[in-house]
Amino acid sequence: MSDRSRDRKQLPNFSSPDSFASQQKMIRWVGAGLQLFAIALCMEMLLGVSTGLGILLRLFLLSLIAFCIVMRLGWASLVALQVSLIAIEPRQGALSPYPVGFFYVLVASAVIVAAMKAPETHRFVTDYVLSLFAGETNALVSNRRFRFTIVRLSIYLLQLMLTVVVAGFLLNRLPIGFQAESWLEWSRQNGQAVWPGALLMVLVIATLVLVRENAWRQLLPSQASLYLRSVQLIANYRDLFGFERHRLRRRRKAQLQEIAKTPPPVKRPKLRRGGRNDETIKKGLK
Amino acid sequence: MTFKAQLFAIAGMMGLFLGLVRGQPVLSLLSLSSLLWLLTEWVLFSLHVRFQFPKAEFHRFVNGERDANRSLWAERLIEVQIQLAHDLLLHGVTLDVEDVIPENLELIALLPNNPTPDVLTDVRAGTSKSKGRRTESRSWLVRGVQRFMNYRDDCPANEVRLGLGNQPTKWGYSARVRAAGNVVFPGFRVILQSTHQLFRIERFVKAEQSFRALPTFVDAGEYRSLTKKSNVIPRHGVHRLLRSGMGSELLELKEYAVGDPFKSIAWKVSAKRDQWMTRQYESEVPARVQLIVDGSSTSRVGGFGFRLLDQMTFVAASVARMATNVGDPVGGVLMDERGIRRLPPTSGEKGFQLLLRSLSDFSVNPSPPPSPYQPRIMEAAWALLNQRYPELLDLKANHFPFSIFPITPGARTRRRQRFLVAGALAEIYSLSVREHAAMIHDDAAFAKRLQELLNNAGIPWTAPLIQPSDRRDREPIERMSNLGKCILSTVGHARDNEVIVIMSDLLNCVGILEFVLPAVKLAIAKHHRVSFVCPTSTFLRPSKGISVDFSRANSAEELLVVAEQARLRIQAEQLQRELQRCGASLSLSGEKNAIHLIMSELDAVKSGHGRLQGNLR
Repeated sequence: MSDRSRDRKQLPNFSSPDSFASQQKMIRWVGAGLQLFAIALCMEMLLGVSTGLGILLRLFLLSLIAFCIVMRLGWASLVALQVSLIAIEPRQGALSPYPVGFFYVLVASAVIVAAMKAPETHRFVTDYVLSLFAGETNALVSNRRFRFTIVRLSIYLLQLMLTVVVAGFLLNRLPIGFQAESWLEWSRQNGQAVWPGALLMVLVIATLVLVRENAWRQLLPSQASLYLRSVQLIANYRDLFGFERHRLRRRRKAQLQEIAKTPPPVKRPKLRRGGRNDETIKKGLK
Repeated sequence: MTFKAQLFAIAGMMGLFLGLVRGQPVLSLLSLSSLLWLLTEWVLFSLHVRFQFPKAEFHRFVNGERDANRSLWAERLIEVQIQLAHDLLLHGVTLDVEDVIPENLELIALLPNNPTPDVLTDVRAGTSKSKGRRTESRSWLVRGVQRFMNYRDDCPANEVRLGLGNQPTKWGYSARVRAAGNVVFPGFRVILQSTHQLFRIERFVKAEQSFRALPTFVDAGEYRSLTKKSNVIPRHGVHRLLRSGMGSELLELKEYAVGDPFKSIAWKVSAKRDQWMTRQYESEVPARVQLIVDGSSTSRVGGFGFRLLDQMTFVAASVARMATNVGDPVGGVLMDERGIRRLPPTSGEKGFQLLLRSLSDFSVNPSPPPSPYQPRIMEAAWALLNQRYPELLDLKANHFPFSIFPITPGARTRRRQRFLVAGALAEIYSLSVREHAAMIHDDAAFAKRLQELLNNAGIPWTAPLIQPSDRRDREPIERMSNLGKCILSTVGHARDNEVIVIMSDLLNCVGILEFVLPAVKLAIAKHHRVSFVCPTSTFLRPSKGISVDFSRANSAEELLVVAEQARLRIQAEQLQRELQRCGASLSLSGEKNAIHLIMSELDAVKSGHGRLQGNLR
């Protein structure tokens, strides 16, 4: 028996397995709803920073965000945040984000990822809440799945922080905005060198080569063979199409000739007493 | 990369561009970090695809055995257990595993003693009764909410989702074999996708296991009639015949004729009548049973378990069991469009098993004749390729030339599908580029390959049921003609005193019995006994007790069944009259409970009592 099933049996206040299952199901639904509401509220707060939107508009926005989360439309959350930033953020001309902006991006990214991973996390949250109510935190912490989820969430957070830091670093190093002037000065001093353009170009080419190499290596032997086959087909498609059209025409002609060769079935005139055929025959006889 | 990921990337790039152009640092940072996050997710997913996905191998145990040379039984439950070959390290991804089950299996449920409760949380005690796709009838909103809740209530029992911390080493399900034939497990459909559904890859892991499914039968023991017919019970394997012979029971007294043995003279009776009388004894000989099974294409129409042939194999196996129990040798003649296959009469358990195996092989649908290209064959092949060769339909590998025409979306989709399928077929059958191009433009060549693909996958493509009129008119005549020849051939090979049981769909051929009746008359003239068993399309026996009441039908389907029953009843009576004139008997199969009736009728025929009755009970 695994830890999980043992934990379930140890939970008190559940008289029968059916009632246990139904109560657990209900708690899961409530937990998912609460989590959804929390994420939507965070997102709405991020969107509505320093704006005086009306309550109805904010409710509508909240439900729209909740809908996007339920339907796993992570890109929609990103677009919403971007639109809000376009409208709210002042044009400074300086591209180095200040600490508040950095924190804002970290929180916003975390909310986007949480919205995208909501189905995965709400089970963890409700499991934890259930165990808290049952007073069985120690048993749950020893659960294998719980431990894995903790590790997973830590990795997600680390990954997120790393991406934001790297993005900030890149934005700081790129010759864009007010830093363009200092880079231009540096370039003049170093004999018109277009650093970091050369480095960037090398990096981009190396990345492209790596990506394509990785994509090629990921192909199965049959896929690689099919790839070569389809490339060959595309290269010779015009000629092959011509051959095939010619062959089909010849075959159709041969079929028509064969049909023309077979004699048509002989139709016997229907002889009806007193009918038109009868009269024509009589006329013919006369 | 899924469509969602593409939208996410586009949004990130657009935001980065606008942020840089407008000089908005937070917008730029948010967009760039989103893009970088997507990149890291892609790298993680690629690592999984490179190192973990190839390790996704599974072992299947059917009824506790991995050996595929064993036999299964139709109508019985089997237990399938699947074992993960290697441990997988899955982080941020899930692995959906589906054991692709053949058409001849019906899913029942997860195994009750499943050792991994974690599977239950994901599979939710899969109670799906069919292998149809889940939640097809529900709205997209309901499906979205269910996906959000990770609530897979109607997940089929043969599917499982593996993830980090949820890796059962073994799981399983129970299924029922629908009909005799073969059961081929082709392999596993495996989908690796990131938890947020941004990246996805699908493969088919081949793990073919083929089993022979033997037909089920009713074992009624040594069948004896309940009414007493004689004082002496004959030996095992010997039947009493109402014909003069060298048995021990008196059949009749007759006047002495020159050549009669003296020891058979009935002295007392001769003295009373003042005339030489001799005793005639009954014949006691072993009866050989010849089963003729007509497996023409019309009897193979319908799903497994609902074909007329399934009724016939069940009756044939039950009759063979009954005959084997009383010691009669049983032979068989299996006929269809491919020809006649003769099974020599054998007795005993070995002979019975041999007959069952032959019936099982005969139940496998043969490859149909080539048919012209139709959209339906393309749909079937597309579905099959998606299931068995998803990697060959991947646009990364399967390219096709761009064209502006056709412009309409439907036609463009059809063109795209045709190119993709042609490419996949060219790879599967190692065709040349010329043949590849021929499939794209030549319907006949394309249809031939599609049919080959479906046949090889165990899904024989059959032409539409409504055939051209000349073919529809000619088919029953050909079938009856073949049946007549088959009976003649059986009579030619038969010895004395054989019981010929013919299982064929005669109900729809009442008007063209002249192809069969001469052969039946010849068989009876040669002192064989002939009995017909006809399957019914409604799987009900149109007995006299069933009243045809259209007013009781509640739905259109019930009305159709009642109408069909009425039609069958009329046809059965006509058929019975025709066969009675020849001296053959008729039984109708249908529901399985009727097998005892059929067996009692056959027993009567065997003993010579029921020869002229032809009862339609």
